[in-house]
Amino acid sequence: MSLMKVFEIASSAMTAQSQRLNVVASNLANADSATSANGLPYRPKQVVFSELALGGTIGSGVRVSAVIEDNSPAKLLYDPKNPLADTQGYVAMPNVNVVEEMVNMIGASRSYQNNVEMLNTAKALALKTLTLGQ
Amino acid sequence: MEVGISFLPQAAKIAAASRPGSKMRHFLVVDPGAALDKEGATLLACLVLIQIENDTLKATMIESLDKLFQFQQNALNLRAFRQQLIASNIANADTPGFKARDIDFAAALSRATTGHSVPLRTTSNRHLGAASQNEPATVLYRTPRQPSIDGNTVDMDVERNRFADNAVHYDANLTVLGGQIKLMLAALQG
Repeated sequence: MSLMKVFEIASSAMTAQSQRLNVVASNLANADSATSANGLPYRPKQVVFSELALGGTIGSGVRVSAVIEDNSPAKLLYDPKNPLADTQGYVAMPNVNVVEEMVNMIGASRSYQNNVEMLNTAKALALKTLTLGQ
Repeated sequence: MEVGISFLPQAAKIAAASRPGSKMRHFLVVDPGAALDKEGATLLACLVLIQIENDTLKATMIESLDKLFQFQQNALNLRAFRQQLIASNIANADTPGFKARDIDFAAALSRATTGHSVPLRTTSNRHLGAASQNEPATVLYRTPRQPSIDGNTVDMDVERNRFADNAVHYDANLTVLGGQIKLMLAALQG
C-alpha cells in the first residue's frame, strides 16, 4: 500500500531534520569554546542532505549523507590576559555565525513540523481506508 | 449449468450420486400422481428458468461487483501513489539538487480505467489478470516557479497545497466507495 510509504518518507525526513537541529544546537552551544576535544578551537558543523531511495518505489526519503566541518580560519580575538593567547595576544575562537545558526534552526524546526503534519494526514487517510465499507 | 427434472425423489438422489462431479445440482421433484395441467406446466417451466437465471446471476455477480468498484479502486490507487510522490517532495524540501515530481492525474486515471496498462503474462486462461506492479503513472518533473540556487525545485507552498488537495480527494473517493459498498450490501441483503 503506497500510503504506508508516506510514513517511511516522513520519518526519514524527521530523522534528518532532527539531526540538523542537533548540529545547530552543538554549534550554538560551542560558539565560545576556544578549545574542543582535540585542543583546537571548535569548528562549526553542517549536515548534508541527500535523497534516500526507498526500495521498489519512485518516492524517496531523505538521509544525512555527511556532516562537514567549516574549515575557514578561526576568528581571532585580542585578549592578552587569556591563557590561550598567542605571543601577540590573540586567541583563536570558533567562527560560529549565531544569526546563521538561528536561521538554520528555524528552518529545521519548520521542516520537521511539515513532516509531522504530513504523517498525521497519511495516518488519518490510512485509518479511514481500514474502515472502508463499515 | 444443468437442471435435472425427476418425477421421484429417490431417482433424483440416485442420479446425483451416480455423477458426483456433475454440475447437476437442482432437481425439481414432481409428484407423478398429480395431473400436470397447463398452469402447472407453465409454473414448472418458470421454476426451471428462475433456477437457471439465479445461477447465471451468481456466476456474474462477483465479476460485476468487481467492475463496479474498479473505477474507485483505480482512482484510490493513483491518489495513494500521488500522495507518496508529494510526500517525498515535501521531505526533500531541503535536499540540494532534488527535483520535485508529480503525475498528470487525469491522464493517469483515464489510462488506468481504459486498461492500457501492461498486464502480467498468464500461462493459463484461468489465471487472474493482475495489472503489473510498476508505477501506475508516468512521473513528470514540476516546472519550478522560484528555482533555488542549489538546484532544488520544491516550492513548499505548492507542495503543501497539492498534498492537502490530494488528501481531500482520497477521502472523497473513500466516501464514495464506502457508499457503493453499502448500497450493494443493501441490495444483497434486502
